[in-house]
Amino acid sequence: MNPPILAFFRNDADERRWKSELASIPGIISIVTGESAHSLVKTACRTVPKPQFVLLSASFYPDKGLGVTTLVRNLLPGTEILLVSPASEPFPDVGLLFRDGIRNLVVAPSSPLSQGSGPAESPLRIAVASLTAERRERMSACLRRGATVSEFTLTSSDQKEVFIKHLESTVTGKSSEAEFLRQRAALIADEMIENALYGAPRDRDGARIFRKGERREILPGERIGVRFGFDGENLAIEVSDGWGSLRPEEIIEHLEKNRDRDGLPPTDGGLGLFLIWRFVDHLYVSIAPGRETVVSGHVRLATPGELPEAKGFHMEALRACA
Amino acid sequence: METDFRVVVTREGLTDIVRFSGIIDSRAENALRELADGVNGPNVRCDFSDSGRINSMGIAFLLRFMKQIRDDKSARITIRGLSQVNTILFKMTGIFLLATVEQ
Repeated sequence: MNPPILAFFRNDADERRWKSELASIPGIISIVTGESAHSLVKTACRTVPKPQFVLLSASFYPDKGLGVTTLVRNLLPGTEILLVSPASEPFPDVGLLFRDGIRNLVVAPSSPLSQGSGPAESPLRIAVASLTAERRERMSACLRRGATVSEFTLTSSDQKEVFIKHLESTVTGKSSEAEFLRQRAALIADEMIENALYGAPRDRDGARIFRKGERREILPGERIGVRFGFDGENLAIEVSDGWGSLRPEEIIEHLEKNRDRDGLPPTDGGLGLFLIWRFVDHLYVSIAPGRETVVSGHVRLATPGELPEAKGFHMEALRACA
Repeated sequence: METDFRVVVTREGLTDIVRFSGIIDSRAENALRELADGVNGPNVRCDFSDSGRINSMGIAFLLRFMKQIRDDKSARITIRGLSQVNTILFKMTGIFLLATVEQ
């Protein structure tokens, strides 16, 4: 049996916002701190010293004088914190999140979503399912039960277009929503594969080995894996490389720099990663330094038009290779 | 939709018509680098009706091309024929700071 998940909310209204979604998450202990934040957080952390992770309402973040984030960090060192922020609130400062060791953020609509028959329609449920799932199971956590996950291994850069065509043909439907999803899926896959082909391979000094766009074969011992699944509404895409050269701080820097800019994008790279983040509904990055980087995203059918401004992410930095 | 990138420039009165087709990515670099030499303005219409996906590299090259003709040739740039995603992409990356959409 998995350990429980501790969830902290500032007040009843704060908890009510997420209540319908929390009800479907097994093993969650929800605590409304009220004015006694410190004592209740301390008690909860002592009672459950090894939770799966801590779900923290963004109403506590940044500390806003209560120091709850710092307290959780001190009482439960090494425990992942998933910050939940309503889409109606200002987007949390990405740089600050990273400084505080918060690598999991969900930005979700304030109003409850419709209840579907699938495993995870809401961003919060998907993020929780993803955080608790094993790496290989993460994609399935985003898809309805029974959805097929296809897997490919690239042998040369020429296969990028072949794969994208296959992906586009998998997203069936003639509606404008389906066409919008096809276009987004193609762009996301393009950027993910480009990162694996040209961004990931680095020499000992950290310099890129291949020039963007050059035709290349996959090196002996190198592996670029592509997986995707579509259940008729949700699409999950994942690209992994065997380099593990991406650094979490590099990701945060790119997201922050591109998000906060006012004008033309910076010319020093990172736009592709930012575009992935903006076009997926939730971004997952798992990095095992020197061994593997996995970038995956979940995106679902939506009315064409504006994308929601704020997006969540989940970054997992595994231990460095010994 | 043709995937190979192509760009063709024609002229109608005081307007250069730049028609893009295919996927705009790193393979479009050389063609887009030389494109500025082929347009004179004062009006430049960029038609994306036949173009497909545009990735981050394609965006970078388009930005460079548009900045160049705006700064060096004082071109007034308009855009037409964008797909749903490319419209969002152009807005997100600042291309609409350099060009306006034709009504």
